[in-house]
Amino acid sequence: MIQFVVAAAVGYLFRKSNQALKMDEQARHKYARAFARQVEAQQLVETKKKIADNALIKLVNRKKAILKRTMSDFLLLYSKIIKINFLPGEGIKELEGQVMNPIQLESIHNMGVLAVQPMSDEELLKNFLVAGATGAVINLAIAGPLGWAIGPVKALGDSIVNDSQRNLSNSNKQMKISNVIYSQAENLSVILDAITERSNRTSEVLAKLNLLFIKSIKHTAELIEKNGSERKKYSAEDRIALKTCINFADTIKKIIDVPMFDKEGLLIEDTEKVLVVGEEFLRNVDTTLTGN
Amino acid sequence: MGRVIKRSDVDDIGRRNNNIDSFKNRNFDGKRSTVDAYTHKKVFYSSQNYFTTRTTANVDHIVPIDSLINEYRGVIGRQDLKSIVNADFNLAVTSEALNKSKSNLNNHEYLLKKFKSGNPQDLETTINMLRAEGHAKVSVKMNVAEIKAKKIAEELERIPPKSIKPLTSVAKKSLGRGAEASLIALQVSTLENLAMVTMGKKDLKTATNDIANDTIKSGVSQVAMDSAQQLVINLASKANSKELAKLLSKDLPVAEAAVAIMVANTTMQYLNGEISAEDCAIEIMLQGAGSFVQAACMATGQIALAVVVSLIMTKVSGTILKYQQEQKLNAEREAALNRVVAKAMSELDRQRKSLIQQIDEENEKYTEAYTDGFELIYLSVLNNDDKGLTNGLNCILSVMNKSCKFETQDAFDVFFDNKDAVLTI
Repeated sequence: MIQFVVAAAVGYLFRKSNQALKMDEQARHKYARAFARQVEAQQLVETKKKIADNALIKLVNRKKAILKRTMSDFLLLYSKIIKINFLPGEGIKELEGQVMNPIQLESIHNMGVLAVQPMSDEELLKNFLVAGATGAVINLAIAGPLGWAIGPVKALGDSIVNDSQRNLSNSNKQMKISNVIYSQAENLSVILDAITERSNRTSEVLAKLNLLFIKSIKHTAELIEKNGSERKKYSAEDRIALKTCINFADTIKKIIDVPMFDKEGLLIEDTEKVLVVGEEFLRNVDTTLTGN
Repeated sequence: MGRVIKRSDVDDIGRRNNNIDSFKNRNFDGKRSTVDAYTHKKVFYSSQNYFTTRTTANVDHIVPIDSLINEYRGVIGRQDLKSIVNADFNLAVTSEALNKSKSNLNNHEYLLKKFKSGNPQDLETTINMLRAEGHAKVSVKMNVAEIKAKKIAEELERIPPKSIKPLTSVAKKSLGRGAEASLIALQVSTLENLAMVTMGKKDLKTATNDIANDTIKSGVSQVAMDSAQQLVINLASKANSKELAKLLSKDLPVAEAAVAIMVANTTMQYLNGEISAEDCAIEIMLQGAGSFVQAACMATGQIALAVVVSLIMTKVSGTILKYQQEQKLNAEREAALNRVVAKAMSELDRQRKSLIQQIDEENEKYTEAYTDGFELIYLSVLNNDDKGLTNGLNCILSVMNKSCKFETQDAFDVFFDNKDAVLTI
């Protein structure tokens, strides 16, 4: 008889353990997908950030090169005939330091991982009381001692399954959180793409204008060399050339002087908005799950 | 264990009365009087001089020795039985008169006898006696269960195959929790079939067959199956159809209670919200099932069982309600998390759309300005058109809401002709 009871109990535990294993397997898959999603989000931002950083570096270098060479040539040349007050604006000042991409990778790394907590003893006991109520019935006081063992085994089996259900539920929560993290990463990617686009576009414009500016300087250098500071010597055509060259210098300076990230500009403000949503989300998740 | 056990084998007058630390001495704690556990009136330690049997203290076995011997002979050993018979939970200080009058009856049997003789006990004593009996019987069952638990663990340890070892440890670990769970579960489940029989919805044969089926499904032993069937047969066969009819005509939620009891097997579905009427059912269990069972048992003369079952039902209901509340809380948290996720996703989606729109607009504006501007500049250079060139530069600067230093030649000439003028860029 005892062998029968033990076999039945072992069989029952095996079946319940099997159920629990299947659920644990599902939970593992879900966790794996959730973590993979987070890794994808991080990789997405990292890749886009690398491209944006390169575009920014290229723009900074271009601005510095123009200031150091072409603009210096212009100032040196034109100071021979007119008084010039060159006022570096914010865009030029920021070149003295390090131009920072507003999106830092920490923002995406900070997204937490939902802690998976096993059931406490109290929870297991409550679970045990309820879970055991169906099968552990006809055993105890009126049953022989062999029958008694089945009750706890039944309840234990159900408790194991419930613990796995909880694990599965947590993996679902993690997946939901990962989806939010990915969505936030997508928004940051949109901003990073815009930074890349904007930087490349400005670099290209500066390159084209600089080419025309160099030609204009070269042309007016000959005129200044020829006419010197005596204004009357400059013909109407010469004056047009001087005006054009000064306009090139002014236009280029104005473009260089635009800060790459205006504090109230589109990208900074929107980056902050995206990050605020992420932070608020994490706070809410924490409050929701801990009840604090 | 098979030998006949006499009353004197298990009674322990020393532990009850005579020893220094006897139940009686501990109860009096050196004083002359104490409170009667049943009547709550004052009783005195000694009957010397003027004290009567109504005021002289005796120590009563709440569950009578004979009753315990009959029930547990062959189930647990003599020493174990002796410890239960004389345990504190089975002893009560009461008056000599009541103790002698009660003799070897259970409290509920004594109360019923007094009722039938036309001289019922007062309400307070009745309640106290039933409560004491209920508490004692639950404690006895718990202790018997514990003794059995230890034995099963010992027996399992003696089984040689390696495969059984893990189960032995499982059984050992589960002892504490299993005893309570099984005890509660036992009462709930046997009531399921009992309720069906007393409701006339099942005959005894079907009920016992169903128990057999359930038992086989649960994989429990033949001994357990037989015992459960016997319990239902014993209780149900005592049911008087006339009394049951009276019971049904009362304002008791009989049908609901029966439903509540019948769904004991699906408690988990209940609690997990898989059954839509879970709140209703829990409410019924709390308010209806206990009183129904009590009324049913009273009607069939099982007063003590009614008390025990009511106590157990209350405990079951309380446990289930607490569990359900926690489940609800979890569900609420799950729902709250879903709301938080949905809100964040919606906000991020809105931001993304807005961002894309703004960036597209910006790209379009810049591309158009730069393309047009350079087109004008290149054409002007080719045509030697300085105005066109200025317009081209202005077109590029327009995206920053700025314009060229000198938009006209006249403006430049005025500046250039003034030797003191300073070009600020």
